[in-house]
Amino acid sequence: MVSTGVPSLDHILGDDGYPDRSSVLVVGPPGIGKEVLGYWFVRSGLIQGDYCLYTTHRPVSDILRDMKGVGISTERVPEWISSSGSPIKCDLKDATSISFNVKEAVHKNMNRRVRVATDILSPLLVLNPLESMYSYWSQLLADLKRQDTVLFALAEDGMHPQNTLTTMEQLFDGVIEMKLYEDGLAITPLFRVKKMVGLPPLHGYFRFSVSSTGMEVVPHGR
Amino acid sequence: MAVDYLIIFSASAVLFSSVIVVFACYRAIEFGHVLVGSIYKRRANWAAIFLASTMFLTLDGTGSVPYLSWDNAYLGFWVITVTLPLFINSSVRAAQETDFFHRDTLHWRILGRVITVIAICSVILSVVVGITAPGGFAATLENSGASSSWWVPVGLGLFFLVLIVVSIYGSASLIVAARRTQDRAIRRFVLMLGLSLVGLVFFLTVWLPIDDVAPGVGDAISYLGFIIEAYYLYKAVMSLSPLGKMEKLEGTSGAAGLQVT
Repeated sequence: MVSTGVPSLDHILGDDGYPDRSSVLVVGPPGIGKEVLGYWFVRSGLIQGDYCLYTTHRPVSDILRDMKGVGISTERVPEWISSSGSPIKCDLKDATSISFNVKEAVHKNMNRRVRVATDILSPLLVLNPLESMYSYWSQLLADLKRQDTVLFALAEDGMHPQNTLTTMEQLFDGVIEMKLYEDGLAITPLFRVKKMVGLPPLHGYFRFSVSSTGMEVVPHGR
Repeated sequence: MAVDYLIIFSASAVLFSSVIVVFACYRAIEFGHVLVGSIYKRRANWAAIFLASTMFLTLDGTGSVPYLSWDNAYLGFWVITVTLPLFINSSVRAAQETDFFHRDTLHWRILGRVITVIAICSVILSVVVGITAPGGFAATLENSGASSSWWVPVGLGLFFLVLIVVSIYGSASLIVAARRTQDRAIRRFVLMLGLSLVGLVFFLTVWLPIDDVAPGVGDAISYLGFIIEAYYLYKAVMSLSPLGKMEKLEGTSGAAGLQVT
C-alpha cells in the first residue's frame, strides 16, 4: 500500500493508503483542494524515497508556490514534466509525447516504487475526442501498472459533460470526489470515496480542511 | 400621499436589495473560507469586499431615501473605484487559471496592475482636488464638482474617466478570459455579473424618460434596478464554485446518512 501523505485519509482507506499498482482519480471543481492531495501524495513519496514524477500543464513555479502556501516543504521536489520551468516540456497539443516522456521516466526507475501525479487529464479531454482519450489513458495506465507505480490524476468538475467523467472514472481503480455542499447557511467542503479497489464501498461523506500544518479529514456528521 | 408611497417603495427596494447584498457578502466570505486554491480564495474575498462597497455606494447615493443618505456621494465612488479593479483582477486571474494554456487576457497581467495603480491615484487626486478647491471640500461636493477654478472639474472629471476606463477594460478582459476557459462556473459567474450590470444601468437610466412625464415615479421605479443588480450579484457569488445539496436518508445518521441531490 502507498501512503496518501494524509494520515487521516490513510486511516479511512484502511490504514494503508492507496493500493499498490493502482490509479486514483480525484474529481472536483477548481480551487477546492484537489491539488493539495496530490502535493501530499508526492511529498510522502519523496520522504519514503520513492521516485516521484509530477506531470502538469502549469508552470513549476506555480506548483512550488502553491505547495509552500499549504505548508509543504519544497526542499525535496519531484521530477517535473511541465509547461515551463522543467527540462521536459508538457505540450498539451502533443499527447503522445507526454505519454512517451512519462513512460520513459518511469521505466528509468524500474527498481523503485514510483508515484506519478498529474493534472493533464482535463486539458487532454477538452482538446481531444473522448474515444481517443479513453484508449490513450487505458494504454498509459496499463503500461504504468506493469511496474510498481501508483498514478494520481486530477480531473476538473464542471469542465466536461457528466458522461465524459463517468466514462473516464471506469478506467481508474479509485475515484475520490471533492465538492462544496450547502449545509443550511454554511458551505461545507466534503469528499467521498466513490470507489477504491480492494475496499468495501464507503458510503460516508468526509469533511476536509487544509491548513499550513497539513490536511485533515474527518467523517462528516460527527 | 402619493409621494409618501413612492418614498416607502424606494426605501423598501433599497432595504430589500441591501439584505440580498449582505447575504451575498456572507456567502462570498464563506466561499473564501472553504476554498483552498489561493487564487479562488482571493476572488471570493474580493467579491465580498466588492459587494460591501457596492452596498456602501448604494446607501451612500440614495439621497432621496430618508435616514439612509449620508450626504457624501463621492465617498461611495472612491471606495468602488479602488475595489472594482481589484475585484476584476481577482476574477480575471481565476479565469486565466482555468484556461489550460494560461493565456494572458488583453495583457491583463501587466495592464491590470497599471490600471489598479491609476485607479488608486485617481482617488487620491480627487480627494486632493476636493480638499484644495476654493471653498473647501464641502463646497465642491455641494456644487457637484462645479467650481470657478478650472482644475477642479478637470480633476474630478479625470477621476470619473478612470472609473469608466477601469469598468470597460476590466469587463472586456473578464469576458475574454471567461470565453477562453472551459469552466462553466466561471462563465456563469461572468454572465451573472453582466446581468447585475444591466440592473445598474436600468437604475441609472430608467428615471430619465419617466420623470419627465410623472415626476418622482421614474425615480421610484429605477430602484427596481437595485433589486435586479443585487439579485444577480448574489447569483454571481453562488457561481464561485458549484454547490451540491445534502439530504439525510431515512433510517440513517451521521457519516453514512447523506445523499447528494
